[in-house]
Amino acid sequence: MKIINKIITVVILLLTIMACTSNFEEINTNPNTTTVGEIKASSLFEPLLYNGADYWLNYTWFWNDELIQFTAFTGGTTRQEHRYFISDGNWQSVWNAYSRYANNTVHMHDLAVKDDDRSLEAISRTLKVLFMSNLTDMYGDVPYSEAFKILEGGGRKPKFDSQREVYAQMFAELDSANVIYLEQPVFVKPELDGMYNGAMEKWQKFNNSLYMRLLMRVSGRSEMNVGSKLTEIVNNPKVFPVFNSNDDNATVVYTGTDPYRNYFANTNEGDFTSSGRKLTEQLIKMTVVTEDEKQVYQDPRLAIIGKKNPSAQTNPENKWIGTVAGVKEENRSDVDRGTSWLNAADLARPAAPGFFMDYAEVQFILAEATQRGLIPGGTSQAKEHYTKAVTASVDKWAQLGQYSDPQVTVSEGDITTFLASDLASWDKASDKLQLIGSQKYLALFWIGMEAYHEYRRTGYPELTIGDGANFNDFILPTRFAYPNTTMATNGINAQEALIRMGGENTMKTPVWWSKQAIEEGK
Amino acid sequence: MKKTKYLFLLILFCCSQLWAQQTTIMGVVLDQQGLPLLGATLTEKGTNKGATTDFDGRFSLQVSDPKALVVISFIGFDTKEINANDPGISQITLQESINALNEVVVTALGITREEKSLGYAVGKVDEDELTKTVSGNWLNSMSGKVAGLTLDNAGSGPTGSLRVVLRGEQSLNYGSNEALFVIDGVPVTSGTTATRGNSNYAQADAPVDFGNAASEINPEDIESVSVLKGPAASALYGSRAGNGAIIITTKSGKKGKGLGITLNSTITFEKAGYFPDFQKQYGNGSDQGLTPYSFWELSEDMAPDGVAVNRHYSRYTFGEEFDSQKMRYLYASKNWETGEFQKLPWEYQDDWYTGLFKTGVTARNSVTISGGNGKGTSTRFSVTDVKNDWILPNTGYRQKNLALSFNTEINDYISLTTKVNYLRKESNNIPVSGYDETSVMYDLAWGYNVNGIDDWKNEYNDGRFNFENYTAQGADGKSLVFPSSNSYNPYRVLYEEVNALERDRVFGSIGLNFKLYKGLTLDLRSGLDWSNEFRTQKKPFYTTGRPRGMYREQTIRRYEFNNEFLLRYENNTWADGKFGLSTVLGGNNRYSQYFRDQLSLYELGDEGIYHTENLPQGVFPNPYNYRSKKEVNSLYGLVSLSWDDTYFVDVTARNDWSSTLSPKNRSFFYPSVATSILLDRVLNLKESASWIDLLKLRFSWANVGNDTSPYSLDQYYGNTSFPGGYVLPGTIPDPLIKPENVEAWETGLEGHFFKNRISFDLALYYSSTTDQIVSVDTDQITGATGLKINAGEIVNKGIEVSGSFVPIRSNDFNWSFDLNWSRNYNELVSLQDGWDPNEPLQTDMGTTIGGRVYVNSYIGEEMHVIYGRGLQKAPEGSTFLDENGNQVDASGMDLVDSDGYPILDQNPERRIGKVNPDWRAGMTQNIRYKNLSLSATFTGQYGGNTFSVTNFALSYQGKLKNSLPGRYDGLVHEGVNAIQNPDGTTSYTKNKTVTSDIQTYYNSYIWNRNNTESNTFDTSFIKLREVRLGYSFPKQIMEKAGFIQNAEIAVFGSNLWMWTKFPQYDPEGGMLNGDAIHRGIEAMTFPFTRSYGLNVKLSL
Repeated sequence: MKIINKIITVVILLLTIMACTSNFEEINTNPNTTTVGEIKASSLFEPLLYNGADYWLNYTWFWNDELIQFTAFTGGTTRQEHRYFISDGNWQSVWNAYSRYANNTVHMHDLAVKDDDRSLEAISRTLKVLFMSNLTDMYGDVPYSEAFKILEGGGRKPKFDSQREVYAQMFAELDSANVIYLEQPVFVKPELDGMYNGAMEKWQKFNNSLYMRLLMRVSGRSEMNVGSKLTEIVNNPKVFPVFNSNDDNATVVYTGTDPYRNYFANTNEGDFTSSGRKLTEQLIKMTVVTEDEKQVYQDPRLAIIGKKNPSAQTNPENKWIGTVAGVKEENRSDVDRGTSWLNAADLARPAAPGFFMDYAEVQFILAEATQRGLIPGGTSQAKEHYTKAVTASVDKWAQLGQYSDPQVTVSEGDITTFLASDLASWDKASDKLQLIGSQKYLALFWIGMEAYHEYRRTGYPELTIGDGANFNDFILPTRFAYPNTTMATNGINAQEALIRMGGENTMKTPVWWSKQAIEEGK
Repeated sequence: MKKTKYLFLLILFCCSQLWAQQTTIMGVVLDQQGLPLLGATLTEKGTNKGATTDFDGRFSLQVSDPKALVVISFIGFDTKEINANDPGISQITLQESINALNEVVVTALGITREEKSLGYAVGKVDEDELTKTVSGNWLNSMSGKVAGLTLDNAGSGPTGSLRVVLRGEQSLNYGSNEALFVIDGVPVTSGTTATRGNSNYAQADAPVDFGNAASEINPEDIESVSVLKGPAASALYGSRAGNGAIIITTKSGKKGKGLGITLNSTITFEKAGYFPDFQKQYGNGSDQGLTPYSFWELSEDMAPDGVAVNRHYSRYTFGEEFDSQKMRYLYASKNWETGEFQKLPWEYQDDWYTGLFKTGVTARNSVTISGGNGKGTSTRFSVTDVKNDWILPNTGYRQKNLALSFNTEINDYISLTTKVNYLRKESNNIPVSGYDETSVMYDLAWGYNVNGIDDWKNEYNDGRFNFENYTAQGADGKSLVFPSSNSYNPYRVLYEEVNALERDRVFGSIGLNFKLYKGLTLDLRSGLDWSNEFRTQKKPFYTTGRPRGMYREQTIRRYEFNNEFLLRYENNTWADGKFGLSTVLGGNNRYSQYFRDQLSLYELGDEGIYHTENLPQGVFPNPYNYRSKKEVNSLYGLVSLSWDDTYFVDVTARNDWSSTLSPKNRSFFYPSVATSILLDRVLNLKESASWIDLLKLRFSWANVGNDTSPYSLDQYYGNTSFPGGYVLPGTIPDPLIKPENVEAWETGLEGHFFKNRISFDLALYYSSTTDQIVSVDTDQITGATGLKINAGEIVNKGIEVSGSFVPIRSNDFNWSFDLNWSRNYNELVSLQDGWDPNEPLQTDMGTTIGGRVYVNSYIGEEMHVIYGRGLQKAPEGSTFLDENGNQVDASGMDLVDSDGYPILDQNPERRIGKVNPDWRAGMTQNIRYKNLSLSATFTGQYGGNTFSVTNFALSYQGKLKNSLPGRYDGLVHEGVNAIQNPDGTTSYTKNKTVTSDIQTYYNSYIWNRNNTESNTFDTSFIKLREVRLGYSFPKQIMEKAGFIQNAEIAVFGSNLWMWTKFPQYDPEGGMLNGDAIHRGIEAMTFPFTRSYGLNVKLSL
């Protein structure tokens, strides 16, 4: 049977082929992207900066404005954040976003150390604190010392540090970054830097201004000795340079050309604001002077930030009308009628900038610190800082007036008038800290979640909780709750943190630096 | 006609060898009723010469010896042996089998086995059951016919995909629970192919369902379908068949000499049915009819009566009561030519919603030519053309299939089998489904019941959907029907937001069979499945989420090549034929490639121009490319032993080597054992209980391994839109990941009684999937959202019962019916180490309807349970006093606030109901009277729940009858008011407060999407899935007609009747999330349709 022999040969051959795995490595080599570790630190920089700024813009619009009553989505029922309709999916996505970006800064740091790229080493620390401070400010206690270790095979159950420990570590991180900045390292690819174009001295100013922001955040906690650190910063501008003018602002510049386009570049006005998110009564109250039901004067920034409802039918007197945040659902369409909305023409331009932090904020911090005696100078110094702060904020927006619809120009005289008006006058204000708090709130418009953080720290401005805000028992969320994944995969550590914070995993437990926690002795 | 026949023969068989003259016998094979049997096999005993009968039951067989013994067999009939020279050979009558001993079935690797020898359950669906009522997807015809088979749909259009799951979901990877499809021994890709990874809810770029590949086979070409339900049945297919397999065998040419031509034409009319229960009493408005409706804002000069009116409209229908005496300014009030307005009667417009749908028509025509030379060479060629105009304007598809089968015996030892299929599918537009402005279902739901559908149609056809009217927002008498920044018009959506498709696909195999020695054969086979697909998606300016339009091109190429050998040895001669042995040794090499190129433009330069260059300045197209490769080598074996036709044992073993696993883990081995025992023979029941034809006990155990997807071992950066910019990956892989493991047990009892008039099959199974390769959740704070590891266990337990009954069996009249019933219990046994059991595992469906509907599974419980908000209830033990001062139990009654409204839960933590049904069942009835036959299939399920987006959307706007009670006098919600007592206790009183605002009551509380509970419904149903009435023309008539040998005509209908508590459309409807179909949320499916059709089949 010759044929049998042939067949047996064929079968043996086939068996050999079937068991052959020599080319498997090649087959399983991914042609679509790059293996982790095989890039330079700078390859992570642009996505971090721009996508990070995208999140800042998205969150300021989606979360901050609704929580803190700059806007309220009363044009429909699909979004009800203003009634505190906030769910696990939201907690999860915010938690993940800040963590993801912080994680990328940590990885950029590791690569920078490997490459001996001192500038990105420092920048990654600054950016890490920027992201991590928002994480802790939103949730309270979070893992910091044991966070982001999984890439190196580390723990899946990092312990939560108390918020105090988190702040201490962030301060240490900023201090160490500042030491590197003092070496005046060179940004190797300045063209990547859409914020400072590689100017490291400005990165240093941002680092230290951020330091001030965070110091002020914990200033209610005496054990943090905020005064002495602030004094050190103010007294040593060579070692701790901070923002000196709006030119130093941590502003991400979008050119308007792909992919450097503002997060809202392709959003129409309706989606951006007019069919849902409206300016609130609260914002109008703080920016418009009304006499005898006539709107006689307004904050020069209002017409740049907002736009009056152009409908002659619903807004026949062409007024600034605000909607009611947290309104009962049945009254929603009534209060929504004729309301003003965000000025999409300038805020949603492809080249509209994204703000991480402004010079104005530094001056507000100094104003508050002097007013409260944390640093020397007294009330007269405080007024000076306050004036600079308000001027800087109005100036910043004035530059965007050319894009707004309709166009707005703001002169120096307008700023002087504004500073003398009932809205912003230092001298007319009985409670200076309240004035600083309220004006800072306005100046923080469109800057991430800052206004929300500051409200919980200072209690300013005084907000009215709507009678329809029933999804959190009429309590403005004091924090976001830890997401289910955190509770499910790291529950013991998270529970420990909640016990430390003195509350449950809800949006009613105050965070450590907040006014409420301090007052309640938590 | 004759000439053509010879011509065909010449073409088809010119290459086949002609053999020496031999004796030819001719005749006809009939059943007891004298009806011809098509496809009966005649073989010369001891040789491989054979023939099959044609439509007339006629055959022609060449035998080497005039005295040769001819074996005549046919499935379901007793085999007969006759000498070739017996005069009776010219008319052979076969007796219907009275026991099922001879039933054969196609099992794994295409091995045909006698059913009695199998130790596991195999479902069978015959060809005619699939081709009876085909309108869209032939897989639909499988519904209700196989116990344990689940079909999920997303109601997503003409090419709507079906997800086939056997015996429950076994994997934590939702996408890897589908059954494997094998066509003629070649595994094919079956998965759904949607455009994007988004869900159907609130996504301007919602996925488009381009259909799953398995459904594209021409049902006319299918000979039989075997459903291998458990791992034991599918163990030989290895890792891919852990979820069971569906084995499709396509038709071959007839073995006998001659040529047959079959023409088959079906026309199916499809109509949207089961519409929501619309209220026709109240028109659009949102203030309870206080202000008269006016779509237009008219100044004194514009108004015909000189009375200026303000604009007052709403898409809610809590407006004025209809009254044709009332005259209102509607959209249609404007004469667009003259610019004048006139008031129109305030009437309900019957077609405002339903008018968009038309009768869909599917025409399916096929020609089949089948022939053989009677010497072992046969061929079959079919051409099919399907043209579908769907129920929505400008939607549908066209498909052409070519199928060629060619078998020949090269010599006494070698034969060749070839099957080649080519298909082309084209569509100008597959519509987007779901809850978003880009879906017409959304557009309709948010439409006006005071506007006829023509308002939209004219707006689009007359070119009124332009920038001017879009931006005017009602000013100066200019507006669109729906004036909003997210304007839409269903006709514009259907004609301009189009999703086109061109798909070419070739699949088939070439096999050689060698007869090596007595009982020893070798099969070599190569199979290919290759497809190339080009899709475009267009969105014009001013569409939701894309104010400046969108254009996308996608090219998807798939390639899979299998090489296989199978060495078989069979010997039934030992121990006087009592001992039977059959062994198989095989090997397979599988290589697959996937390639996807995609370019999206999220803004267009010029309006109305769609190509990849049409971009505005400063904007670049958005590319996405992905390609992957995978190779798996396998060796496997099967040993089947039998003793005395009574005891049967199968043992299989398989080893796979997968390129996707690390060198250490890439080789994995898994075995299975199956036994069957014929109790009737063991207990010798033939004598004591002669009414028992067969009683079989079976038992099996199997273990199947499973690998993972390519590139799962290393960490790769995510690409970004920034040049050279990267981000860290979300999931960290485990380079030493092991193959996952399914272990399954099954036991069954099968019986046939009273000459097969009653049969039943009972199966119990248990399967456990461990070491699942899943991306387990980790906290992003650790540095990743997931770790790909081996973790978790899912257990499926179930019972399947099926029976068939033949109450009447006579020459002229036959009545039979089949029943099946199945129940599966699906439990999450464990997740990764350290998972807090109090926390649920959330099924990722791509949406939670904005934080409103969660499908969760808890460790130790049945999987997939809907959680959300509901109305708050009085706690256990609470009471109130009625009018007579009696204490009444108030536990569980709704709490009502002081305004008369019920109170919604704050958090979505209420358990609403489980998604999976308790059981499913099917029944098929067959009645035949002479040449007339009637069959009907019913399917049903009990239990299960689905959240309905269609329901909340229509209901909370007041468009359905379920918001009529209480308009506008209010109503008293049945419930209790809670009163907080100063001592901290709570007491209750019966609610007597009339709701202060009935619109708020329905809109904000009862039907609002926040009320998960009220919008979730029981999905129990009974459907009359198919009915078919057929008539085959009697022989005498056919003979007069001349060349026509056989003619059959049938009318059929599907989904003609349904009973269900589910209020909107199809209780089986789910949701599309990227490529996956999910149950538990109905995200605005297209209407459930009824179809009616006519089928004509002619054999020449």
